[in-house]
Amino acid sequence: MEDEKIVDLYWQRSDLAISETNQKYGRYCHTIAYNICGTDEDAEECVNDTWFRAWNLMPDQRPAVLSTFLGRITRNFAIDCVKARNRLKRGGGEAVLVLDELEECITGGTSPEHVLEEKELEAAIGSFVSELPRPEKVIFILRYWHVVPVDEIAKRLQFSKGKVKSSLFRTRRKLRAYLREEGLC
Amino acid sequence: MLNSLTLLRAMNGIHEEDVIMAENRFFDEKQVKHVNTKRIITFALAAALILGLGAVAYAIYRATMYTRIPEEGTTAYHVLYNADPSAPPEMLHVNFDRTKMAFRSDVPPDGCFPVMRASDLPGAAENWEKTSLHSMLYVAQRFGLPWEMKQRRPDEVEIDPKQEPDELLKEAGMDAETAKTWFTGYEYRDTKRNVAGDNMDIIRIELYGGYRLHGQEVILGAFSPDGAEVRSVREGTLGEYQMVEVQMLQASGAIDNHLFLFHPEKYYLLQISGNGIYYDFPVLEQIGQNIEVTETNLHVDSYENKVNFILADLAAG
Repeated sequence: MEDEKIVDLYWQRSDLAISETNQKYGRYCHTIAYNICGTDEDAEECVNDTWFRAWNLMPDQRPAVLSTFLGRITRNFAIDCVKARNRLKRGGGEAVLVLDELEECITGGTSPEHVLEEKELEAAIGSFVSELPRPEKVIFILRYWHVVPVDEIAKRLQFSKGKVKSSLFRTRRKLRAYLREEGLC
Repeated sequence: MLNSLTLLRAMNGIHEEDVIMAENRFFDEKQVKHVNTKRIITFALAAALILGLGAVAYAIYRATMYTRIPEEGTTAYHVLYNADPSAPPEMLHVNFDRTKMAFRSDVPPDGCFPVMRASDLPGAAENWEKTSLHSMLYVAQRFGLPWEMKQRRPDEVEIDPKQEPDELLKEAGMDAETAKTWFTGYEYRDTKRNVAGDNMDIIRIELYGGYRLHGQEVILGAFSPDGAEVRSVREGTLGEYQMVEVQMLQASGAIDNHLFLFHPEKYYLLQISGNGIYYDFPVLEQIGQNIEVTETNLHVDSYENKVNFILADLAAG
C-alpha cells in the first residue's frame, strides 16, 4: 500500500493503519531498533511503541515521508530504551559503539543539551549532513541514523571496512569542528 | 555518555531526503548492482589500460633496448626484411606477417678491429684457426674491394693479406681465443628448423656495413668455405646490387647456397645463406630483393650476438 493511503488510514482512525504499517515498515523499524538496542525483544517493543506513537501523532501530523517519520520515532524509543536500561557501555548492541564514536564530536564540559535546545542541535546536524559529499553522507547517515554496523555498510556499499571507518572518522572530526563553530559544544 | 546519546538522538535532524537517499543506496539492489557493474567496468578498463601501457612500454623497450645515441663519425644500417608473398612460408619459417623484422647494426668506431665472422654458431668458432684468411676475405676480393685489416687500438698495423691467420691475429693484438669472441656481425638466422636431426641454419642473413679506413670505404666480409667444396660461383647483378652466388657442398653432403649482394653506392654487403634443401638461388634472390636496407643515424652496441638471436626468436614466431 502506498504511504499516502496508509497515512489516510491513520487519519480515518482505521485499525488497518497499524497492520499495513507493520507489514510495510515493520522490518525497517525493527532493524533500526535492533541496531540500537541490540536485542530482538527490545527492538520489538520499540516497534510496537512506534506504532502507538504514530497512531497518537496522526491525524495531527501528516508526514511527507512515512518511512523516516516512523524511523525517527523508532530511533527515539530505541535510544530511550538504551538509556533506560542503562546498558550504555556493555551489552547495548551497536548503540554502544556508536555512542563511543560520537563522544569524539563533543568536547568535555558543557553538554549540548545544556547549551541549546535539542531542536537546535538537530537543525545544525541536519544542515551539516546535507553539505557532506555524497559518499560520506551516505556512510554517516547509515551509521548514525540507521545505526548500521560498519561491516554491513562496507559490505553493502562495496567499500572496504577501512574506507568506511576512515570516512566516519573524518566526518566526525568535521562535525566536531562544525559544532564548535556553531557554539554547540 | 549522555552527550553522545543526545547527539545520537539529534541525528533525527538529518533531512529526510538525505536519509532516503542513504536508504536507497543501502537497500536498493539495483544501485548495488549498478555499483558492482561500474566496479567491474572500471576494473576491466583499468586492466585494459595497464595492458595497453605495458604493451606500449614493451614495444618502446624492444625498440630501444639495444640502441644508444649515435656517436659522431659512426654510421648504421637498418635492415628491414619485408614479407615475400611469393615465398612459401613453410620454407621461410619466419613469421613474415610481422612485416618488418628488423635489426639495427652499426659500423664499428674507427680503431676497432672490424672482423666479421661468417658464423658464430657453437662449433664454428673452433674452425677459426683452420680458416684461411684468404678464403675469409673471399667476398672482398671477389668484389675487388680494397681491404685492409687493422689492429685494435691503440696502434694500427698494416697487415699483409698473405700472412697466415694466426700470425695476422697476433700482429693485430689478438690471440685466437680473443678473436673467437670478437666479431661485429649483424645477422638474422633461423636455426629452428630441424634438418636431418640437427638444428642447422636454414637461412642466415647478414649485413656487412662499410666504414672508412685510410680515407677509403672498406668492407671486410668474413666468408669461409670451412673445408666445403665450392661447386659453383656465379656473378651478375640483381637490381642495384652486384651479385655473387656461391654453392658449396659440405663434407656431410649438405648443399649450402650463398648469395652476396653488394650495393656499390650505399656501400654495404648482404649475405643471404640458405640450406640448399629449402632455399635455391631464385628464392634467395627473391628474399634479397625484399630486403630493404636503410641507413640510419642509430648506433647500437657492436657486440650483436644476443641481439641477433633475440630478433631471430622474435621473428620466427
